[in-house]
Amino acid sequence: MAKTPEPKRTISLKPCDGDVIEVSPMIAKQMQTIQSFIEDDSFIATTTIIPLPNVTAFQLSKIIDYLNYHSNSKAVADNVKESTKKFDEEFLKELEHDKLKELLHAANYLNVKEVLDFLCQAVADLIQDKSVKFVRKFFGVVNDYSVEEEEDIRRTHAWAFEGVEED
Amino acid sequence: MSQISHGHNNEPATIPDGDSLHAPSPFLPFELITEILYRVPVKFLIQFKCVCKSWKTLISNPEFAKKHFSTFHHHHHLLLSINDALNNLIVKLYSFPSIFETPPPISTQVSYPLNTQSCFAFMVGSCDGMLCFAGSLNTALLWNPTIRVFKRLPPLEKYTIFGFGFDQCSDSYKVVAILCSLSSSDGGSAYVTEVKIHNLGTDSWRRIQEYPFGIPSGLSAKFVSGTLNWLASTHKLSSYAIVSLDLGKESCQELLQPDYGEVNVLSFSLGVLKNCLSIIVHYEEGFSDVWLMNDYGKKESWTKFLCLPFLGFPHVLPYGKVIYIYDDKEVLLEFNSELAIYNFRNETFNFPEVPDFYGWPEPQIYVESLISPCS
Repeated sequence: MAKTPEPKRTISLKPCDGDVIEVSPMIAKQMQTIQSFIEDDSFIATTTIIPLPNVTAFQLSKIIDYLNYHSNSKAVADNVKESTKKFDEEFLKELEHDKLKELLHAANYLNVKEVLDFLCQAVADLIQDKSVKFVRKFFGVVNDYSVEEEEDIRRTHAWAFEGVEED
Repeated sequence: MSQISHGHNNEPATIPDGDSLHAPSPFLPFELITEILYRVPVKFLIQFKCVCKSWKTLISNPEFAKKHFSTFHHHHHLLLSINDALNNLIVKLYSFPSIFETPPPISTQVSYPLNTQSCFAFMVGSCDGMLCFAGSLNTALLWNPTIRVFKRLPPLEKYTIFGFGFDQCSDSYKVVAILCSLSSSDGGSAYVTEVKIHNLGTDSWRRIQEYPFGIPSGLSAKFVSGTLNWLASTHKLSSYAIVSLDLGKESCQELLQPDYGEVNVLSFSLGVLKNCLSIIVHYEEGFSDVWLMNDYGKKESWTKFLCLPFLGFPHVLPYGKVIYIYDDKEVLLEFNSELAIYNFRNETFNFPEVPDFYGWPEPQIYVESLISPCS
């Protein structure tokens, strides 16, 4: 690591549908996919623009916003919990289901662990008290059980379905 | 694979393609769905077995259960096992934030699986979402109350003290049985013990080396850092040794205790606080100290964590077990056989409404899991 000094300048990322977005090396570092690109010997920090054909400008800026906020809030120790919680809630409020899934895709493609963890938790929170039908629709999963097979599972685990309203 | 041009460089570099991103409604790959499901509470995962066959296979896989346990953001619960009006054994779970923050505490309850067989049972320990109970006729039972799966272990022939924990070396849950019997040889009589370990994999008991310290006192062992810990009486009166059984090495050793100083100790009890072995020491003078062994097995790592104040009754023991530390400012403890919260920052007491607490049997800290005693 010591032999390859970090490029001082910003990294240029080009989303599929917008202008180049400049990010600091510290932010780029958290995107594993970008990081391995930068570490490639043929990469020239000053001139290379990294095209991201699978990521939209909206998704990229959301991910950068998240990383920026969370890397700054780590530095301050006190009273961070409340404001971080608020930021996270606002962050998710702007995302409808499809956008949330697309963002999860983008975070997965860029391999940003912190954002991936956060979004997986957000989806888990969203689906956890929903009906099986909702979950199938949300993930686009096809029910491959026969009526009897599904009934059988519900009967075996009847206690887990107590108080659950089907829609 | 998509190609990314390198500006002036002619050599193309590639970044793996994110498939199906441009589908009209975004579908998440199965690995991402799995990552999401690691974060869903157990009860809902049981419901989600109905989603489709591949989800059922995934959720039923023991490897998934392990990964779920290590990923899921756990809430700790206080678990009490109590007898209801019909003398059925039930376990009641109280969520910790609700005990400390929002009275009255929220609880859920589950019936003990062998209630219809009218057998006496008490709790031995809790580990990774599974509970170990000792039942009548020297039997032990492992039970995960969240997924409602239980397993009876093969019965033993003598009065037995059990312990339950996880051994990382063999990646398995182990129940330890100390079989006790009175032997009357050489003109006198003395208790003799035999130690056996049950392995879930083989479902059989296997004898290991002796328990070297008489009979363990207290019916449940404390599981910390891959070891089971009991207090055991030594030859000297009113003096106790901490005996540690390493579940990996399957051997016992004595743990050195902290230097209590110039005080008259009335009694001790062991506990687990902040994942550390703890010992609460009650003094004749009417106060108690709580010590934590921060680095398991190292005598010098004992630190006095807390001093519980003298409240005006010498020779009376107001304090019992210390059960839980919350938010680095409060402890849940037994006080005059009730539950009490002592705030050690501002030195105040308050009493949560937990009507089922009798101080007996041992309250446990519980976290839910998908881990099955039958897998």
